[in-house]
Amino acid sequence: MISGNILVVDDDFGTREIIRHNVVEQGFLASAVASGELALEALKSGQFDLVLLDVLMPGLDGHEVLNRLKSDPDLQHIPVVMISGLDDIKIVVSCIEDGAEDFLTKPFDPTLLRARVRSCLEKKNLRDKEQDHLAAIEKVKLRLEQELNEASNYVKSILPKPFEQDGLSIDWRYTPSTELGGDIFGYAWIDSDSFAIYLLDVCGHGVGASLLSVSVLNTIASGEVSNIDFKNPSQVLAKLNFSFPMEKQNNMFFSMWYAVLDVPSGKLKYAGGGHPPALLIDHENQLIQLESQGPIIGIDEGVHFESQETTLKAGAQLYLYSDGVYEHVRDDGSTVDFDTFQDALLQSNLENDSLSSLENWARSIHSQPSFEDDFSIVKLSYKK
Amino acid sequence: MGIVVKIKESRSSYIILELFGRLDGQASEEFEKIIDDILISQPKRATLTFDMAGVNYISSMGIRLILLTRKKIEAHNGSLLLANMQKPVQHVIEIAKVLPSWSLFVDVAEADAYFDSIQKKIRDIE
Repeated sequence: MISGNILVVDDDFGTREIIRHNVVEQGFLASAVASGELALEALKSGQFDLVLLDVLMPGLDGHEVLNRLKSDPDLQHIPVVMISGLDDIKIVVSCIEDGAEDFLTKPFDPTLLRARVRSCLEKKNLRDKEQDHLAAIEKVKLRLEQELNEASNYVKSILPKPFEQDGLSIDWRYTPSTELGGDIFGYAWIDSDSFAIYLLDVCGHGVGASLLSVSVLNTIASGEVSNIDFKNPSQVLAKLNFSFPMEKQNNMFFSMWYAVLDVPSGKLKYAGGGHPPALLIDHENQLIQLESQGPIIGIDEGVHFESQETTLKAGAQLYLYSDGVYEHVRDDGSTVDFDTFQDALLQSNLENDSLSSLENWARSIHSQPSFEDDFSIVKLSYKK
Repeated sequence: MGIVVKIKESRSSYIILELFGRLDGQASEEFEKIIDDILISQPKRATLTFDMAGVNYISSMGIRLILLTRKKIEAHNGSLLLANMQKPVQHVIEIAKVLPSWSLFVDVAEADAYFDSIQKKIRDIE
């Protein structure tokens, strides 16, 4: 059953009342006014679903009322049926061009009136429903955007700040490919000499990946893993591997690289699980790969991780990063290989702001506005 | 473009699947279903070989698909072998260490030979 509230506008009392009576008989609500000015006044109430509008009226005529209604954003969606004498057909055509839905000629046929009223109201009902759905979608979209934004701000808030002090400085770049990324990193002093640094990359990106990456970061940062020696990289990975089996994490896993630097001696102990090698550029500008020996974290409970050691000399730079830093597809479909990335890093390392330089290199590879995967890189400069 | 999977060879206990395209998150649901349908008709200890020549990209979600396939097959005492990987894909697989190095082969013939040697060992034991 279609319902609707109809405004009848005609300066002739007889016509006005006949039309009003007719539509009320059909079960609709109806009001009637005698002039264009009164019609615009009545329409401001916002309660009408259809206007039946006489073309020729003293003062504001039907055509002018139509034009004003169609140029008002609050009213332009209301359908208008023009009512005219047989001689006014030219004006009616121009009213149709200006947005009137249909027309009726006087003396009108009650069946035609009924048919046009129903058809206009049906269309308007559909349109109103569509508008309601669009508004509901827009509302949900807005809410999700706000929530994602809040979550993204949270992730950024738990990342440690870059710093510079005697012997050591840290800088980083973190650009998730969506609002939330699967990459995360951290660093902290374990005691006055030992400095721990790590980066992990949860498979995929977006909300699911981010929940796991934050959960791992907070587990490490809060020291919640029992009996863990944070100075022992292989033990840290083994414990995390035990604590985050993929079967209990919605089949998600992560790769990770973890190291502890003894700042006075420059001794670096490290271990990796399924992660690209950290890259060390030594004081003589030689690039050394510090490879992961273990598999991705969370895939096999019993696997063994091994720590390895190297020594940093003053002037060495250590780069931890995720695969999103070097896995780029060029516009011609070819993929950047690891050697090209290493060359770009060596080149960037010579610049004052090496991380911005590397990010610019990555952005220049293809014409896409954003990265396909999360771009995360942490640089440790050893000055002791 | 997603991933396209074609059966290259299928006999009892041994299937070779040819993969084409990008192995990433978009491929997940469809890929898992294809693998499930194939495994359901196979006896225990089946060997599945992926001919990866046509795969030009693998993301971490693609690694996840390889892993889930490996776990499903291993649950039935079978094995997953990879052959014919393009260099960038091989680099990703090797870094992730999702499969033991003995299950990675330069080409399908090498994987076939491995399967035959395993079958022979089983026959000798029986």
